[in-house]
Amino acid sequence: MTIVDATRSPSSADTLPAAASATLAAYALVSIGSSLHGDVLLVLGVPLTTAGFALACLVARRGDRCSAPWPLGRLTMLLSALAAVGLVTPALDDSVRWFTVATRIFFAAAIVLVAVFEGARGAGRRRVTMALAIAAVALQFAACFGVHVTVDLWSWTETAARALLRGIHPYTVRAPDLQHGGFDFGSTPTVYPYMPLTVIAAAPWVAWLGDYRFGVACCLPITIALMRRGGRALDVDATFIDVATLALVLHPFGTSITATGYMEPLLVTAASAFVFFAATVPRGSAEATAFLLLPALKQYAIAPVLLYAAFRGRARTIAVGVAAALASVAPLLLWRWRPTLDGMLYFVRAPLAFRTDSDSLAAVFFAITRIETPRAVAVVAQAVAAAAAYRTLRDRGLDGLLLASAISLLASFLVAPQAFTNYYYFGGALLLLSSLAAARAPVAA
Amino acid sequence: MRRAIVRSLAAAAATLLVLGAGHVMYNAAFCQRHQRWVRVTERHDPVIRDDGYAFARTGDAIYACSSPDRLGPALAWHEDLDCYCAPAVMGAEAVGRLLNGQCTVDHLAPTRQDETGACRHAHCARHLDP
Repeated sequence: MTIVDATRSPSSADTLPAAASATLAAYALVSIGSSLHGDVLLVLGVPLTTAGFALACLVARRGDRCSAPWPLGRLTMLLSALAAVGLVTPALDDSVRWFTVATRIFFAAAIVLVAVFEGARGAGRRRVTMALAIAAVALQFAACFGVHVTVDLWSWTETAARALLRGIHPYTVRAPDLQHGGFDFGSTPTVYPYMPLTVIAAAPWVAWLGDYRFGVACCLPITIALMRRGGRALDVDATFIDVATLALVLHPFGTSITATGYMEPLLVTAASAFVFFAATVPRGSAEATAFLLLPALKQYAIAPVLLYAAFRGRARTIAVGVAAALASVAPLLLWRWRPTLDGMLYFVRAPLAFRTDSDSLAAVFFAITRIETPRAVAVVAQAVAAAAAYRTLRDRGLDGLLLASAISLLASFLVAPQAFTNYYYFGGALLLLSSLAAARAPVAA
Repeated sequence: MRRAIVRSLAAAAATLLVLGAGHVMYNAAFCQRHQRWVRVTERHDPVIRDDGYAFARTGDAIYACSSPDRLGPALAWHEDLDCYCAPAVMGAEAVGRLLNGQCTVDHLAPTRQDETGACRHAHCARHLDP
């Protein structure tokens, strides 16, 4: 009997690999912690997020020596906890009643359905997974109708995309303040403060359906498909693929991320595409392109790129990936370089105020000491965490790269003067993808 | 299957208990609105709020409101005190009804330069709309 055969024996059908399961638990803690806002943000939210980060570090250090394989029941309890938090997460401002009710019904049903999942076998488990995935995808699209969004992020992205569609440079327009001066976070952008690729991704949806959030909503089904296909290509046990899918669709704030217009689902899709390509065409140009598009979507994803080069770097594929990322920036730079750079570097150069309502240890530290953590600490933390994680994980291949990327980003978010649930949505997704890669069947000797 | 359902429901209930405990802990030890109430009513500080990210919008008045902080419909923990932005046309009574508390108008036409009153520089805890 080969090692592969041994891992597929009937007796192990309801146990899952220790390191992969622990990484998935870290994802659950980060997702739950970063979904808690308001009164419990500092007393529960940040501690739980930090616990998830600590567990991820522990997995990085100990790998499969963490513990014995996890029983499936332990992971379904975590899924149930995710659903419970989703059930009581307050509705976004300006949500219509039917949407709030639909979201509550989804999470309430999920608490029961994850138990049905645990009790079922093969096809039954797949049916439960698909039912919840389809419902979650439906909620993503419903969010575009069910939440009237007024945040500046949405206003800026819509305005920039509409400008691009009219042939106006998107970094030369100003977005209307939909909150009529109701909020001031210490710095009011004078230029679109995100990356060009986000405008390019938003524009077709604005032209077609009048709201880029429909495009963001498409990310979940694409991510699910890529994750599942990637998992199968890696020869991951079908039950673990289903558990990872459920963990993704039961993110307590997943629907709100789309409803608010955050762009992180695009990063999650790019990372899933990376896993899919890494599983099907390892170390090819496609995986490099998918991974190196991350900083072209969000400025904070710097260390993962360096980690990619260190873990899986090949000069030719990196060149292709860098060229793809530059291709998303170059047209607007050539069109008008100064406003494009002003926008891309806005968060680096603007005098951003410390946000006491951040999901971060820096906010807890401020609440206790009234001392603001300098912005540079987040940059240093990302670099130091990436270096330390690389040192520990460099022999762990695909799951090591994803885990190191997650650790480096989460470390920087936790000490950042501004860090919010959308950041952790992506950091958490990297943990989830790492767990999927770590669950691959051992290669026969 | 029944065991799995019981376990899942127990996990959800335990999660909600932890969240509930977090709320109780916050209210018992860290409730900022109650701390404002203590500061103003017991230590006679004239300023309720002079910080935060929410500001009065055009047409908003700022209302200083005290309201009981409740755990469920029956049990009132303590009194809260904070500043709220709401349309000037609403009036203090209507804003008080929204919060189940009592409000007074602090500034009818607040500005970021306000150095007087209990709610300074147009700061408020949040916006209330009818």
